Amino acid sequence: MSWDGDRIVGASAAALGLGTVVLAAGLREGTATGGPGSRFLPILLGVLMMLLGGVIALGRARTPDDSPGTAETTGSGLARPLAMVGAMGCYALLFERLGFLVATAPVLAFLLAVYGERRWSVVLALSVFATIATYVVFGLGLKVPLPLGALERWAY
Amino acid sequence: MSDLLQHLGLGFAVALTPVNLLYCLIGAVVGTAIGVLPGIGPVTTVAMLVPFTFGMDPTAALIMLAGIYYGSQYGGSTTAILINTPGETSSVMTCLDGYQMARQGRAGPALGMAAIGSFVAGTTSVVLLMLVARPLVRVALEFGPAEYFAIMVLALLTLGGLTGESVAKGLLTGVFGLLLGTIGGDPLTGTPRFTFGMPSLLDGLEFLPVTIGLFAVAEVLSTASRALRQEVYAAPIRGYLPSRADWHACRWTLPRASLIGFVVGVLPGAGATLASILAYLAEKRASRYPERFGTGVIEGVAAPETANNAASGGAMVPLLTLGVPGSGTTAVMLGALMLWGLRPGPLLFEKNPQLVWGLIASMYIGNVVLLILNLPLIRLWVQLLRVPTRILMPLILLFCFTGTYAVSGNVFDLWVMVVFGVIGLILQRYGFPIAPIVLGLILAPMLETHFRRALIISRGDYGIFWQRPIAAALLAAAILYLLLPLLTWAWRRRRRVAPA
Repeated sequence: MSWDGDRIVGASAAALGLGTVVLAAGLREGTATGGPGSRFLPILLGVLMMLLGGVIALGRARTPDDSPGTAETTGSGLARPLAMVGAMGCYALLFERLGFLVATAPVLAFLLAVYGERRWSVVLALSVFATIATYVVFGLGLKVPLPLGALERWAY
Repeated sequence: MSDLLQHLGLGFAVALTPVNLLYCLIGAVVGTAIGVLPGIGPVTTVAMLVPFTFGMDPTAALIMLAGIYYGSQYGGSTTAILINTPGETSSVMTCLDGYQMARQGRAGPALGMAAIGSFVAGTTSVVLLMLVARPLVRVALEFGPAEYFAIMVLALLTLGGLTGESVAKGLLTGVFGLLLGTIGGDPLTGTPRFTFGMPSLLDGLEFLPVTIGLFAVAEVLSTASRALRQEVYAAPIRGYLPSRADWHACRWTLPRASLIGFVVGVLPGAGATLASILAYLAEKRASRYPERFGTGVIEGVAAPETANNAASGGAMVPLLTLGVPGSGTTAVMLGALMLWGLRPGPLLFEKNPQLVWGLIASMYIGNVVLLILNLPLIRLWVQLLRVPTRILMPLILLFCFTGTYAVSGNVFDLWVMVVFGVIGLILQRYGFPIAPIVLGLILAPMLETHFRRALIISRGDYGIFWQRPIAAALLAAAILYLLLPLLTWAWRRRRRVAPA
């Protein structure tokens, strides 16, 4: 039995359901009303997750591996999404520390390059222009409180 | 009837104010542009734009979001006809005959009929929405917690079961969404659940970062993992107006598909895609030359395009009257209504008539705007198709980050968005539907509250769900829906065995 996507997602869902049941069992039921309390729904949903996850994982185990709905996960197909997730993680980390303007332009340039834009002039121009335009429209125009980070002391 | 006209008059007075007209126009144009671009759906766009509507008047904001919803159904046909790629899943059937018509040099009439069909459907569905909504609201005003619980269970089951490649996968994502909705304080007692000591989780997961992650970020990541080549139909497009023969061929198609689309749209979970498939099949069955379907017949374009637009009008019925969304996009709109401090459901008609009737009237206006704009702007939409994905997708990501941060000004939400982007990518990749997660997340607190309130009223007696006829009927429908695949399987097996 190979571990394709359906089995992995099904087994993960079943594990999540089990974890939910264990955690929810520790909650105080806390009802003086005659009805169910705080842990009733989480436990019920945890059990359903275990059942449905199990059905999907075991159901797939009985069907041929090449049935529809099973996407092949290859290394080359994952490289770009992984690089983008890494860039997004760095961006979330630096967003408030460096501020919107300083953090956004390099991350956007990286994303454009990862997505396949090969002209460096376009990458640089677009990343700087889009960052400034977004700040002007949303930060100044729509008053979205975008952080300035390191630039704060020069702004005020 | 005079009551209805009076309300409609109020609606037009609201919708025809310059500000609301402007937002209706913006929504319709942005929606069409989004529909044209493959990959970005209405649910993604509505989710991305909700954060920027907080400073706006809720009526104007809802008018704009609804414009995006039905505008995207118009736009989806352009890519289906010109590049054989549906801009929206609901335009899949349009590819079959639309692209063939384009290859035969009849892209113009195909695009024209798609726009006219969408207009007819949009207008018909708004009239039907108006007629159906009031009686339904009167019934819904009698609903208690048991009925609301039952209708939410039915909505979750049907949305979970009808989207995606298997019922189990749809149900699993629906349950996952409900589970996410239990994070934070218990809605009745305030007991913290699954917060892991994080103050940001005390109020639960915000629906917007989750939705933007699941739809927009996941789509950007998914596009990054595959090469997209867009071959746009190159020949000049002339003569958008259908010929007399085309009109004659579609004389019954437009009303038939409008009706099918509206009815399917009203059903929770069925949505525009199923409506377009059913309308196409009904048209093929009713045709005198069914064998020609798929070779470029105009009815094959008119039926799905009419039905998918009618379905978006139909989907507004459960949202506005019961506060229960019937599709991914209306689920996001429900979340937006709640963020604006409004309580969707039958009381919305009583307490905020200007919002509901303003929205309904704006949908009339929006359909006229789309018809006027769509035909002359087709060349612009074709140009939009030529914007490279490698530039568009990173910009969408920037928009997602800005929008998510705008909601709460909390970096935690950015992490939530990224995590759910990855989850969405994995689920999409293996055929798990995403919309039920959003529906579950939004409905969980309401579902739990109604369930527990019903049991408080009955002093812990579960019989309350069977003793009240509407609740019992809805729950019976939900159970029947769950058992239907099993019964069908047993019936087929019996038929196979019987001849032997």
